[in-house]
Amino acid sequence: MPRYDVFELVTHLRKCPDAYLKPSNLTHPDGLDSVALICDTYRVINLNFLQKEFKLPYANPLKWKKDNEWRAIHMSAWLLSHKVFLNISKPDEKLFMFWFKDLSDASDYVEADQWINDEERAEEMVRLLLNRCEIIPYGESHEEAADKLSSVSSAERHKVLTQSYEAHERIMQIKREMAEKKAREAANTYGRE
Amino acid sequence: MDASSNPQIALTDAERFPLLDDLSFLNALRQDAFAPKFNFKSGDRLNAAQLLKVKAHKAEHCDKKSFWTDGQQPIWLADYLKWCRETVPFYQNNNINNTTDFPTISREDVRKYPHLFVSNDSNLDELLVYYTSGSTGAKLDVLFDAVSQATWLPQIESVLANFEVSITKGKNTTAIALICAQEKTLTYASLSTYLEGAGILKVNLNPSEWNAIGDAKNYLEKYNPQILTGDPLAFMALLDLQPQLTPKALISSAMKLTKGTKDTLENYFKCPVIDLYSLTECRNIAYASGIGHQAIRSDLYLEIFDAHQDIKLPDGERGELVVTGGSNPFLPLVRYRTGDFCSLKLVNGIPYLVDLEARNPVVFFTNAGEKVRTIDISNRLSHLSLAGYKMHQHKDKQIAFVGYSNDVTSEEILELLNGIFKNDCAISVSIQTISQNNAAEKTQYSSELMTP
Repeated sequence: MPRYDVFELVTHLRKCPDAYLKPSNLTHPDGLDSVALICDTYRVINLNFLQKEFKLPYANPLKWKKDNEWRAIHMSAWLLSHKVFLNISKPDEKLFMFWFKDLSDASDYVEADQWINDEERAEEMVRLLLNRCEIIPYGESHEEAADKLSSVSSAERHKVLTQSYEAHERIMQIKREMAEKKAREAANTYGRE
Repeated sequence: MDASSNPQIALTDAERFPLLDDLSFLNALRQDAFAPKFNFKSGDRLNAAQLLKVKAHKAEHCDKKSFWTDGQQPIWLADYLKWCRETVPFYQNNNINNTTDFPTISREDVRKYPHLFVSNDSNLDELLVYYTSGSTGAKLDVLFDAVSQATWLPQIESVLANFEVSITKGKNTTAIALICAQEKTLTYASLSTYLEGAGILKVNLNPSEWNAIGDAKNYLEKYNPQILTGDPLAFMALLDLQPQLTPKALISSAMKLTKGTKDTLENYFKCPVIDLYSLTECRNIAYASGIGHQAIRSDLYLEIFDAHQDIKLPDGERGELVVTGGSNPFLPLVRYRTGDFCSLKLVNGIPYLVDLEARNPVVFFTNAGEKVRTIDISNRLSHLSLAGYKMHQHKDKQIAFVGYSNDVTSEEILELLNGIFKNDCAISVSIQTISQNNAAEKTQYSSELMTP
């Protein structure tokens, strides 16, 4: 059983070669062939270099993806080149969800360069991948891993901020209404209290 | 509740009474030759959906024969707590699972953070606000809606039913008159949609509020309200006018009603005088009966807690009354400390508050250091027709007593108190006569010595 050390994987990710940082050929003519990179990654992880069937989104969604998302996927392909990922069981479904759900969601809030330039974002990508692959990081319990992912998750933070903002807005609205209604007539009083 | 605010923005009568077309009786009440100088206008604000809710409240919570049984909780409680946890910001921050996990809250919490008690489910268009000076505490913004305000009526109907009294509905009768006898308060004539257009009055007996001497008596006699509400001071001030009224009942609240005052009022008005226990924060709770104060509504869960710690006491033990529930979406209460003290007794599924005493559990001391409980003083004074009183013990243990009455003498009080304190305390007694514009404080007992 390999040791999935978050610190080691973050270090590995942050050493991502320039070749993986290029835009996608689906958004730039001189870009990296994203689909080929994905297919190669499936082959490597599956240790099946003759693999011809790959789990990909339908053709059009591939083109709709923004460059920010493609570049995140390219970097994650480098992350997945670490030897510890060669042992993932049934990786196709997990990698598909990681690329096209988890990274896609996070990319709404994370600029591609941050995945390697910002240590916390690098940790976020590592933890998103481990979580999707149902791997508990070395030295952590299931609960600790979930807590740490939650604490670095950009999508989660955005959700909390949105909720906090909405709660704050609601309270401000109540205070405005209170001030306004206090100046108005209320309703009949029938007895003393 | 004394709506001591001074609202600046008035509504139209159509906004005050969305469901009432015929306002002729209201105009008669307002424009009568004997009418007081009303300084305000008010309505019940009920629309059709809200009126249905008031009627549903009556069926669900006022007509029940059993509220909960020994060792059990009311069936609505679990859902109510879940709703509070999910939608009320003040309770959302607590990681709580059931009632035993909920801490108690106090009037101070409600006063400081009224906005945090507003459920996320509530419609702010329905928010109403009273600003009250509060007779026993700091000023308070009370948030409520037209439904929770109007449910006072079915709750009182259920109390009256126990005295075989019912309120006649209809547009040519005055159902309720709230009688005040104070320096200043909001006064108005209004109608009740729930009572099918019956009149509602709030009047102040203060002579400066009327156009001519005798108008207060003449006005009240002319409209002869079915139910008179108010505090003992106001009722004694009314009695002083010797009005020829035939009320079906008097409902006394906000101050302790002594047996002497109750007897005096019942003898004169020839109807039951009901001692009601209610709070601004949740309205009607209980009324005095033989065993103790009988709970009125099944939507208020009552518990007894230690006065100083968050420890629930077993039924039968005396402590602070704590309430959970109510029908106000803008102030849902969970374990709200009332500041009042009693023990709880469940009889056939109905809770009774035994030996209910107002807030501040003061203990007095004789010079020898012997403790004297306020409940014992209240019981001994109760046969006198005192409309109210306050009693204070100074650091040197001297006691100052001020009573409000038109017939009790200071000698009677002194003799009685000397008996209670075993002639081992210096006591001064003064009796103030009751007028039509009293400025009496309502706090009964206070002490500069250590309290329990």
